Amino acid sequence: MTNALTPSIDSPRLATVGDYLNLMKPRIMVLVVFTGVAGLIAAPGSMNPVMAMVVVFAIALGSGAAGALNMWYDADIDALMSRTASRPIPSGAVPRDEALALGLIVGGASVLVMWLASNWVAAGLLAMSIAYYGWFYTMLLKRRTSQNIVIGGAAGAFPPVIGWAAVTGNTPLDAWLLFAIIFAWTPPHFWALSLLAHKEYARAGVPMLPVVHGAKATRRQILAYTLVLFPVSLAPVATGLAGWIYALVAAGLGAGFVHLAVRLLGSRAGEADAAGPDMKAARGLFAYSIAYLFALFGALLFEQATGLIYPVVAHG
Amino acid sequence: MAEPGATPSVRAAPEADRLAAQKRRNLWLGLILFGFVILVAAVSAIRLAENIASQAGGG
Repeated sequence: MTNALTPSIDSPRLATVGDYLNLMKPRIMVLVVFTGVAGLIAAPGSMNPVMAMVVVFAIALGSGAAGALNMWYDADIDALMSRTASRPIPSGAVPRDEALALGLIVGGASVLVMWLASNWVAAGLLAMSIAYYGWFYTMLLKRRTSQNIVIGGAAGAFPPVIGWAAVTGNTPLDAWLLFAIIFAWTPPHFWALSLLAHKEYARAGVPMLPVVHGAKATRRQILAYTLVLFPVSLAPVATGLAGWIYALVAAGLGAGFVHLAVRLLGSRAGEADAAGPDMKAARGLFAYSIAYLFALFGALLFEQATGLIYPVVAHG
Repeated sequence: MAEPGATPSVRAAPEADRLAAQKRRNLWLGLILFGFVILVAAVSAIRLAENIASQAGGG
């Protein structure tokens, strides 16, 4: 068996623009931007459209910077896992130092641009979220505790709060409700993935929940967090931020999420003797969780953008 | 049929590729820096215009 690190040392390839973009984790960036836009639109008040676009750009840059810092620090374990071995650093395309420089420079630029385009609250939150993911989660939590993604999940939950703060200059309860939705969504999302890749995490020495506490405990925790997510996702309805359309979408999607989590609990996903259908249950939940977040924030965006907010709860 | 100078050019190819890639990267860096300067200038101009408009409205 060959060491996954060997080819990267023996046959470095020339970096392309795509490698530098991949360093910034574009898939995560899409989700971050989408939820950031939701916060921006949901916030009361208005903003110059050009400035709003610059704010969204700054959020995207901040996400990319955090991704680059994560790849810089995690290059050693990325090389050990097939899912991540082709990333720009372990594949030999981008030197580690360049990833660090890119992360720091782009991170600094994103905060500066955010400050110029909006206010210091949004810029401060952006700086904090970059540090939270790039330093606190990546360097302190990820390799130390099985609760890494529970605590670290807050990093990915900041974008709607940042978007909101960019418009209003403050962060009221409604903004933090959007934060709470992503925070509660993150564990079932990542643990479904970790059930699929638990052997690789174990080989790399990353204490993901299935590695430390086993697959069954992970499946139970996934269901527990999904049950927490359900009422949290409906909280914006109670505060009047969202109306009937969002409520129906959130209830339907939440029921689907719980159904899949129950099905996953009854499977043997992540066990040594797991069969194809078991792993399909984990894969299904992982894919569903991504669609879930897009659809949930999409419903919120639709209501806010069209003004079709029919209150479920009357507010005096 | 190999040309007399074929062997050195084959040997030089990786170096030529590296230089070409470096040149491309420098071009991209230049464009990104230019874009950043334009972005900051545009944002500053819009803020300035907003401030002037709000002062005129308030006064």
